[in-house]
Amino acid sequence: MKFKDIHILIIDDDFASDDPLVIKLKEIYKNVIVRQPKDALLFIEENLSQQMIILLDVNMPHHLDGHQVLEKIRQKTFLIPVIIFTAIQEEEETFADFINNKAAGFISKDASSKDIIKMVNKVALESQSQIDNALEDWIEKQPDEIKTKPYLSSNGKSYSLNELLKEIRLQTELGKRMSGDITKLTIDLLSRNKNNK
Amino acid sequence: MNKTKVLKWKFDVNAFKLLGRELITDRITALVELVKNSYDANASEVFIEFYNVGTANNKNSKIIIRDNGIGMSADDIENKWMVVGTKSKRHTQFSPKPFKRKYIGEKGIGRFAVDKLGSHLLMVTKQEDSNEEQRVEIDWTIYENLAEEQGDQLTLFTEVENSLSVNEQLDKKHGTTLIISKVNEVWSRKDIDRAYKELSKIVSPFHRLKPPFKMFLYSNENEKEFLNKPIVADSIAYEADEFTLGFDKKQKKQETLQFNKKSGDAEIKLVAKPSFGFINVRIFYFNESAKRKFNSTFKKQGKHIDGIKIYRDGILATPFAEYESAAFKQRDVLGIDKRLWQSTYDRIGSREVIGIIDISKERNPQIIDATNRQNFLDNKAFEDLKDFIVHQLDQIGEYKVSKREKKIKNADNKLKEVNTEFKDAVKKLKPIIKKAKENNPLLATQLEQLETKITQTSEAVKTVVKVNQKVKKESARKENLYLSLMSLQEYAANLSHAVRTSLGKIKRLAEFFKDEFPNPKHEKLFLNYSNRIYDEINTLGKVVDFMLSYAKAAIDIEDFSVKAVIENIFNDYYKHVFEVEGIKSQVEIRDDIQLSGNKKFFEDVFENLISNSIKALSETKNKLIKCTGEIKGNKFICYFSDNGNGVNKEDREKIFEIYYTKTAEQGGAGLGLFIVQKRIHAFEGEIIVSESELKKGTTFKIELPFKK
Repeated sequence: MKFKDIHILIIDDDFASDDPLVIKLKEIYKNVIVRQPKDALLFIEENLSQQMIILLDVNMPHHLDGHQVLEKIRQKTFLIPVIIFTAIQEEEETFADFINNKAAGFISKDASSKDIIKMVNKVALESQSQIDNALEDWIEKQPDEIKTKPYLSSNGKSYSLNELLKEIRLQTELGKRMSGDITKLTIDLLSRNKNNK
Repeated sequence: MNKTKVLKWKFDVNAFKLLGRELITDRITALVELVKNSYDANASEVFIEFYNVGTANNKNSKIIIRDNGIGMSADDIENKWMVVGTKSKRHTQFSPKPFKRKYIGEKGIGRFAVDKLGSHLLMVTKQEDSNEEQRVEIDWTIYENLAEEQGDQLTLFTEVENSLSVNEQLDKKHGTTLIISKVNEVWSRKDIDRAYKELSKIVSPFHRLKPPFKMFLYSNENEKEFLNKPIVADSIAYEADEFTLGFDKKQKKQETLQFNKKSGDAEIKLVAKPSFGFINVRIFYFNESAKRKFNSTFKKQGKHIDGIKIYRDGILATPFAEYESAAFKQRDVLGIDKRLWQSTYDRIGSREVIGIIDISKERNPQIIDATNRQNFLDNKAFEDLKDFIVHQLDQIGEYKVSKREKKIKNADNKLKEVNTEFKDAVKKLKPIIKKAKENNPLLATQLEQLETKITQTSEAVKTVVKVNQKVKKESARKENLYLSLMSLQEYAANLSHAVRTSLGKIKRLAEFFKDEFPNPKHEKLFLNYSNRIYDEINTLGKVVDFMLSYAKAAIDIEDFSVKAVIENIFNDYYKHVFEVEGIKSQVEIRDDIQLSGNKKFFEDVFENLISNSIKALSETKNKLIKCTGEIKGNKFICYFSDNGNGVNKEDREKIFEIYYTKTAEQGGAGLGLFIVQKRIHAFEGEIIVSESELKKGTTFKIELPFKK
């Protein structure tokens, strides 16, 4: 388990950057960043090649609210897990769009640090098994020169391993094809192993 | 053995009494019924003439009803007029074009009304395209005599013979004339007056009839007054308030209504020529009792209190032309009823007014029927016209409210007067009774009874006054409760959010202590966190107080210092909020007054204003909220300002409307300023948007009257 590679981004309009939760999360994760919605979206865009888990507040008067922020994140990528971190009990209808936009979990604003961290860890564990993160793990193990060297070319354009990872995270045409191919290949390999036995 | 025999009804001659005299209860109704028949016959003019009816048994007495309606053919007379209960009128509801009148005559018995007026009838009738004039004579005395004389032999109603003669008549004239002679009863001037009044009800004074129906009344014994006097409907008789607006072509000014708070009237004011051109306006406003009066007279005729309609050169403009009986189906061409739901009860709707807007092709070329004929072309001129009409209704609305309030006040004062008068009377009576008792011991018991009675009555009066006051207070309380519930709903979401957020923070801070203390690594954090727990609990306490203040808000009435309340809100309740939002607040309350009322509601005013300002300030850099207060004359004047987004001039009145919001994106529900205004009104004050004192943003001016 390599939680130390994961950034935690807390999107909230009223959250102290030295809140005990931040201190505690820092002990487990690479970094914990607290941002207001607009700055947070910018941060996500600039760090798409990083592993990240988001804690998202919903009611942020005078800012984009949680629904809008998640929508904006999902326009970029579906691969970043987002935990809804809210103090309001929403009606089912308004919750629907969280689910449609693949929220990874829900936790109440008045939960203890322990409960919140439990939730974050669970989500982190799940995300480890995602292709992009598995691929990242593998890339990590490669020597530096291979990481940046052209590794594969498609439509006359060549990509390094790091660039491929970004394509997958951004879910471009190439990225989607790649992750599809990798999944197929994995299943194929697994079944072959079985047959060989 | 089976034998069948056919049976038929027969009418005894007495039936004529049944038809005329019994069904038509009095002679004025009879007269009205006959004139209604002229209306149904598409007459545009009808003359009602009385000759020598002022004295009894005058041989030359006559009542003539002469119209220019469609008249009757010989066939009509024989097969319709002479048939009891014909219902040719019942096949269709409306008379032929271009009149399209809704039939108003009683079904097939109007003609028997004649008997009520006089014993002899000569009817002369002619149709337009015919050269024959029909003359029918009916002598009701024959029927009468037969009815009286009747012995063993029965005479049937249908067997009495009446004569019809035909004359050649070549002119184009048409219509029906009823000449009733041997008038039964004396018609004094007063009776004719009464007839005039009743006849004037045939046509609604509020609706335009095209082609018209003109009635004229003549009496040879009262020529001074009734020399073919036109019978005109009197709108005042229906207690409707009439508002008439015109224009001044020379000065290029249009008249418009403006409610005057001092006089309590909607007064006429001149404004510049509108974009839609000059118009004439007549609006009748009906309160509940006026509505009842109107409906009892006109509903049968299919006339309703149905809002405002536009007439172009005297003819109903096509978007209004289709008759729609179901109110909810009626198209709201002028957008009058759309605005009703925006406010509570004080607005005027289509069901309370009849209005005639006169436009002309020449003066108002910009008001054009849309091609679908369902509306007008949606251009600037029509938009402005709609606004103009809605403005008139809003002014009438204020007039309605002020009138209602006056009425309540009057009733109140009267009750109080009665109470005082009664007390005075009792005071004066008591010594008199005492004296009387001393002087006349025999009367003592009776006087004592009287005394008890007086005391009882006096108590009863007192109770009535008390009950009345209680009812008034109760309804005010209910309204306030309702309003505070509305605001409560708005705050509930915010408050629960605040509580939970606060609780979450405290929980995590405490948890950290529990898990880590006394880990020397975190020494600095421990100090920091303990301070934060303390602050957070304070905030939480305030939020809870704030919620509780709502819970018991509705009933409490107390004296409070305006200065203290305002300063408390700024420096305590909202201190934290201002810090979070980065808003600088500036409070300068120089003078202080004591108000009596619900303190919570006074706080509402400022809480709502602040919450409003916070929304308006979201995009401002150096955020500032300023509040100043001082006494001027017998008013406490308070200016509340922010340097936020500000309010457009044209929206200055609208922003106080319920559900009107410009901050929907920031969660504005359009309740805040509505509550503010109602609360201020509850303190008999006034709030307006005035010129911004911070160059940018909004300034509210609040005036609170007080007694020195």
